[in-house]
Amino acid sequence: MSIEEKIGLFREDYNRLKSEIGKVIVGHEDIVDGTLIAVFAGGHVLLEGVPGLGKTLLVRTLSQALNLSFNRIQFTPDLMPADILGTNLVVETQEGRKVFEFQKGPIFAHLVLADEINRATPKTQSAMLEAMQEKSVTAGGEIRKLASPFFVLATQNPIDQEGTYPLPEAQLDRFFFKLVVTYPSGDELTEVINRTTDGRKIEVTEILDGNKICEYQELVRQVPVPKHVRDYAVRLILATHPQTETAEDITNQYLRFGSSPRGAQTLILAAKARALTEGRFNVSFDDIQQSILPALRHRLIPNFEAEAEGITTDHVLHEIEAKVDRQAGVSTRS
Amino acid sequence: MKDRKLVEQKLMHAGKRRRWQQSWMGLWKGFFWGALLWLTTLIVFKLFPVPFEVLAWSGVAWVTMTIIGPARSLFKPVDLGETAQWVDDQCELKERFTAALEFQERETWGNIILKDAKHFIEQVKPRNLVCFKLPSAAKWSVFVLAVSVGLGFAPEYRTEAYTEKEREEAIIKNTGKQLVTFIRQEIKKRPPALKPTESAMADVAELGTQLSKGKLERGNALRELAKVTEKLKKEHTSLDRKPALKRMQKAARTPAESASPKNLNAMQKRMDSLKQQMGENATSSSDLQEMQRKLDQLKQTASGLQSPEGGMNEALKQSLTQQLGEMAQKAAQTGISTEQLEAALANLTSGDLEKFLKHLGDAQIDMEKTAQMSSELQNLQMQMDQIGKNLAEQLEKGQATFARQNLIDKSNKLTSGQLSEEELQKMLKELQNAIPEAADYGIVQDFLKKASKQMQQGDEAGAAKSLQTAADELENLMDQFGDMQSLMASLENLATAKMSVGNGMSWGQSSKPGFKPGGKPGKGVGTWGEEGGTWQNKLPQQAADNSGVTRPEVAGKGPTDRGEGELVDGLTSTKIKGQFDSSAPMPSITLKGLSIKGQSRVEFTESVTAAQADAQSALSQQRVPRAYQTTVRDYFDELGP
Repeated sequence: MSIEEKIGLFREDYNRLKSEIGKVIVGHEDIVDGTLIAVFAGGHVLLEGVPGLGKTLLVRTLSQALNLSFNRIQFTPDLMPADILGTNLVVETQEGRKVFEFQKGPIFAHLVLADEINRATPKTQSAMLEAMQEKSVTAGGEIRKLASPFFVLATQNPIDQEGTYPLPEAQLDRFFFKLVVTYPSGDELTEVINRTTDGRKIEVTEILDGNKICEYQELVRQVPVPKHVRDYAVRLILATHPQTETAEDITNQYLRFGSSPRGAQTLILAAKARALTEGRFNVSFDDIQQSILPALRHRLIPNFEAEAEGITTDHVLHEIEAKVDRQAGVSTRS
Repeated sequence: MKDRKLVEQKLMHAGKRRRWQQSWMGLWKGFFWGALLWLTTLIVFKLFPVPFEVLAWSGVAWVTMTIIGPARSLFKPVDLGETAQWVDDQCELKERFTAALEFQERETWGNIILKDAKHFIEQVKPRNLVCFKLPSAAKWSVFVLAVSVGLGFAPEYRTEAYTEKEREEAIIKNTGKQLVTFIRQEIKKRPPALKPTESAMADVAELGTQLSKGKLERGNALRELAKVTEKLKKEHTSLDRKPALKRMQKAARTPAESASPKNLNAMQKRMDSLKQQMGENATSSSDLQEMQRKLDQLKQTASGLQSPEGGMNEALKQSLTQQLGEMAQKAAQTGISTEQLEAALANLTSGDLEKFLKHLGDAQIDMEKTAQMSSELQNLQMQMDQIGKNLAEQLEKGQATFARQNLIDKSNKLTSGQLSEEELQKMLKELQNAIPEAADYGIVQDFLKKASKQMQQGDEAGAAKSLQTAADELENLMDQFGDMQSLMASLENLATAKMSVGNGMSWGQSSKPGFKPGGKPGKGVGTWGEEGGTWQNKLPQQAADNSGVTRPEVAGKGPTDRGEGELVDGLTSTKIKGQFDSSAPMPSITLKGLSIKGQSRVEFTESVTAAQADAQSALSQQRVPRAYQTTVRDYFDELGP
C-alpha cells in the first residue's frame, strides 16, 4: 500500500472514529480532536474540567470505538501504587505449592482511564510515571511491558481542591496534551438532553484495533516538517524559557519555568498528526499553532506574580504566540 | 520531474513579480525615510544654526535613499525558498510549496508533496498576489512633504550674535575672494619684475586664499592684513624713493598717459582725418557750443511759427529767416556743412513748416557731430602736446616709454652708419641736452654721457651700444614702475579689505565709501564735505587742460626727506592729568567718516594692534605732519591693555 493510500485510509478511519464518538459526545470537537490526535501521536491526555462535562464518557466512548482493552482507575486518596500496577500474591498451585504470582493491576490495558487523578496522593500518582513514559512496569524486581498501544487518559477536577493533590511537574510533563473541557453551548446542551433522556441506547461501533493504531502512529511520525516550521516550533519553546535571551517579556514576568524538550516533541508530533487529519502531507504553521495550548499549557510553571494576578499559562502562551514571528527573517508582507 | 518544474516555474514567476513589487515598496519606503530625514534636518536647520551644507547633504541622502530603496530589491536574485514561503503565506497554502521545494529529493514523500503542491498551482496568480498600489509610506510621504513645504516658509531662528558672526564670515570670505581675483588680474596685467614685489604679491594672494577659505577669524584676519600691508608698504616706499619712478608717476597723471610710441602714428592719423573732415577752418568747440545753443533757440522759436489762423506768423518768419541766414553764413565761414541749414532756409521761405523743422533737426545733429569731432581733436592735440619732443623733454617729463623708443631709434640709426655729419651733430646735441635731465635715472645718465663721448670720438658703434644699454636700463626702470603701480593697487585693495573686515562692510561699500552722487548720506556723525552730494554731480565732461598753469607762489607740498620734524616750543606735547567732571558735558568731536552702529565685538587688543599698524603706516607714508609725528608715535606706542 502506498503512502498516499495509507494516508487516505487514515483520514477515512479518523473521520469515522470521530463520527462514532460524535454519536455519544455532543460538541467538544476540539477535545475529541485533541484526544484522537494524542492517540495517533502515541501520547497521554489529561482532561481537565468541572464534573459532568463528559470527560469520562469521552474516554469510555473512545475505548468502545477502538477495539482495545480498557481499564478504569478511580483515583482516591487511599489508592496505593500496587492498586494500579499490580502486586505479587501468594497463590497455591495445583500441586499444592505456594508461590508468588504477579497479579496485574488495571494499568495493564491498552486504554487506561485515570479518573480524577489528582485525588490520589503523589506517591500513587508517581506510580504512573514509568508506565506512561517507558510503557512498562517494574514490580518485584521484574520489568513488565505494557500492551501496545498504551494510552492513559486522565481526568481531573479543577474546583474540588479539598483532598486533592496537584500533579507533580514530572507527571504533568508526561501528558502529551492537557485538554480543558468547557461548558457546552446552548444548542449542544439541548442536544445532550435530547440524547440522554429519551431512553435511546446508542451503540458505538468498533473502528480501529491496536495494530492499526500502531501503524498509524508510525505513519504520523513520517510526515515531513519544513525547516522553517520546525524553527518556529523551536522558537516558541525557547520563548517560554524565562530569563534567557530568547524569552519574551511576558515569560520573564509571569513564568518560573518554561517548557521541557518534551514540549517541542509534542508540538511537532501533534502538528504532524493534525496535518494528516486534514489530508495534508506536510506540517504547516497552523498545525503548530493549533497545538500550542494543549501541548504546552501544563508544561509551563507560572510564578507567584502570575498566580496573584490570575494570569494563566494559556494567557502567557497566547501572548508568546502573538509575539513570535512565524517567518523570522523572511519578508512575507506584500 | 515535471511537477517539480511546474512548481519552480510558478515560483520563479511569482518571485520576479514580487521583486518588482518590493522595488515599488522600496521606492516609497526610501522616499519616505529620506523625506523624514529631510524634514528632521529642516526642523533642526530652522531652529539651530547648523550650516546650510547639512541641509544640502540631507537632500542628497534623500535622493540616495529613494534610489537605494528600490535598487536593493530590484537587483536581488529571486530566492525560490523565500518566494515559496511568501506564496504559502499569501495564498494560505499551509506550507505546501515550501515543503515541495524542501522535500523534493525524498523518494516517496517528495513526490506526494510535489503532486499536492501542483494541485494548488492554479491558485497562485502572481498578478493578483502582487498589486501595485500606493503603500502607506506614500501617504505619509505626502504628509511629510506638505509639512516640509509649510516649514519652508517659516523663517529660521537665529540669534543676533550668530547672524552677525555669519555675516562677518561671509564678508571675510568675500574679501579673500576679491583679493585673490585682484592679485590674479594684476599679475596677469603686470607680471612683477622684482623678486620682493613678487614675494609681496604672493603674500597677498596667500592671505586672500586663507580669507576666502574662512580659516581666519576677524581679529586674526585684521592682524594678517596689517602685516601684509606693512610689507607691501615697505616695498612700495623703497621704490617710491627712486626719483626716476617719481617722474614716471607724474607722467602717468598727465593726459598723455595713454599715448605710447606704438599708437603715436595712429593718433596722428586720427588727428589728420579729423582735421580733413572738419576742414582747414576748424572752429573751436566753444564756438560750436555757441552755435548749437543758438540752433536750439531757433528750433524753440520755430515751434511758435504756426499762427492760430492756420497760416504762418510772418513777422516771426522774417526774423527766423534772417537768423538762419546769418547762422548759415557763419557756419560756412567756419567750415561746417551748411547743407541742412540752407535746405531748412529754403523750406522756411517756401512755407513748408514740416520740412523746415526736419532739416533744422538734421542740422542740429550735424552740429553735434562736428562738436564731438572738435572735442576729440582737441583732446588728441592735448595729448600730442604733452609728449616730449626730444630726449631731454621726454626724460624730464618722465615719459620713459618715449625716451626708451627714442634711444632705440638713435641706436639703430648709429648702427646703420648712414647718418650724415649734420644729423650726427644734431643727435649729439640732443644727447648732451638730455644728460642733465637723466640725472634722476641712475646709470642711464652714465650711458648717455658715455655715448656722447663715444660719438665725439667717432665711435658710432660704441655709442649705439651705450644707447641700447641706456634703453635697457630705462626698460628696467619701467618694470620697477610697473611693480610700484602694482603695489599701490594692492595697497588700495588691502585698505579696502581692512575696511571691509574691520567694519563689517561689503567689498563694494568699502571700495567706494561714502555715498554715491545723488544719494543721501547715512545716519550718524556728519561729514566735513557737502552732505547733499551735489558737489559730485558736476563732473567735468571734458578733460580740462590746466597743464600750462603755473603757480609759483604755492610751493610743492609733497612728501619730502627733510628728516624728522620737531615741534616748535609752544607745541610740546603734555599729558593732562585730572578727572572728568561728571556734571559737565563730555568733550566730543565730530569726525568725518562713516557711521558705525552697534556694539563692538572686536577685542581691545585687536583694535589696538590694528590702530598701531595703521598709525605706523601713516607715519611711514608721511601722511602725518612732521611736527606731530613724534607725538602720534608716542601715543600709539603707549596704547595697550
